[in-house]
Amino acid sequence: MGKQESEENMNYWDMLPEGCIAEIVSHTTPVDACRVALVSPAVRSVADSDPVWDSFLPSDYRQLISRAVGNQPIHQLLSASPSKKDLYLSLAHHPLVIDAGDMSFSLDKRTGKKCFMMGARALTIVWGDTPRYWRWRSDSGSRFGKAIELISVCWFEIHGRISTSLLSGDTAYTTYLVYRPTTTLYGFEDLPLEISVGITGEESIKRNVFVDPEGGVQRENVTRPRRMGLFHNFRAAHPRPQIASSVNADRQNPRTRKDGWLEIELAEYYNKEGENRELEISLLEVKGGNWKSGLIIQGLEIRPMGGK
Amino acid sequence: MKKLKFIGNPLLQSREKINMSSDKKWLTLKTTEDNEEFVVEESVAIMSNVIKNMVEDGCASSVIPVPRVKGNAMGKIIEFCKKHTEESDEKVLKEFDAEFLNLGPDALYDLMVSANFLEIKVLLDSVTTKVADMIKGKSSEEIRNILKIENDLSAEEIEESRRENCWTRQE
Repeated sequence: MGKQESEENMNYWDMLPEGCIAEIVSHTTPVDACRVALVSPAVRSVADSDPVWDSFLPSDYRQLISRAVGNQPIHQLLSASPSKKDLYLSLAHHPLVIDAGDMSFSLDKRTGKKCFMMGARALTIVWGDTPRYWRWRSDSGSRFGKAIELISVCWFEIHGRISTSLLSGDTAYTTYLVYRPTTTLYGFEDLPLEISVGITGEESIKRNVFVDPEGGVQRENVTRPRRMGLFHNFRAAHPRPQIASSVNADRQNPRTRKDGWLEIELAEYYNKEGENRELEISLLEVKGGNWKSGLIIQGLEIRPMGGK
Repeated sequence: MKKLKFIGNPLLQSREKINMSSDKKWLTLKTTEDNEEFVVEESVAIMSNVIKNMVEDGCASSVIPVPRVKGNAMGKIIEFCKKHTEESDEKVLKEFDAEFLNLGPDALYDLMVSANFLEIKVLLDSVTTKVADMIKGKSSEEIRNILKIENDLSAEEIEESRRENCWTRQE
């Protein structure tokens, strides 16, 4: 190989047809495409191009956007002839509220996989329509503008259902309860919620989850006001002995999200390509018999594993 | 000096024997850059859309000239097409492709340009996937090195790009 030939090879990349470069970048990930764009101006124009970012957008993105309600950032963007990259970033940064305002859709920025949150209104909440048990409230902190507050129940049962055809194919998903405690949070300290995630009617993954893992340690020796009803939390009258922190070590702690809400991981679900089933997420606490109170629920989120 | 390459049965020594044998149709491809000739089964050659069109237009009897593709690249391409015509087991093909594409960037780009020019979709897809895998997860500097691209951005441009794309920083 003479010197001339090796010099030629130095410029090989410039000789590649743009279509080839676009093909290569399409086979990487959105993150990689942004890094490739930093390489040189010529490569940047290809790495930022519509064919590349169209390949990162989910195939049904137009249909999902058409289901958006009201006036959201996406509508302003659409009127300004956005590039596919602009659309992608908007869907990643601004969850889109769809379907009568009870569901939201967004993209996991790193992978382009679809994320959904079922708002409280989209969930089946047992006793949810009885204000002495659960109360609806408008909530500017919720992307849906509303949330449901647990006033007091003995029987805690919530179900969320979503069609798997909405989810990205061949993707491992994790589900979360998105919520906030109020100052009157109690009844959950030593009782886990029994979680079940799986296809309706089929075998599901079962977990126990504590929405108040610190509660046991924090609430010892505190007398709580008696609640209405036949059952009352007699633990208030009988202070708990100090619970060693090691007991809490195996309880997963709720995480604070960027939007200020808390989330607790429920269970995972692997979505196969091309399936159209109903995924059911259930949260139950119906065995303790005690009164529980003090949660504000925004919804149930499902997003790819490893995504934030 | 013309070199005559036989892809196929190594025992056959002359073109006549090939013409007389069986029902297989054979074509001669000639790379015009370096005048290498390749005798190939038609079923293998038509994996290239360009050659397929030429055959359908009736150039089958004469030598098919192939510009822009060098002899050694042509040889590799024919090897690839032959394997993909003969083998139907997905797993075997995957292993073959992995071994076959175990090349440096220059050879890969050679293949890519040729596959693109000859419109051989299967080969083009394999090579682009391979190059994509090489750059996945790498930093911009590493990508620049792998692809041997000169960095002609000014310091300001680099900084501006970095700010726009700051969410791609490796965490």
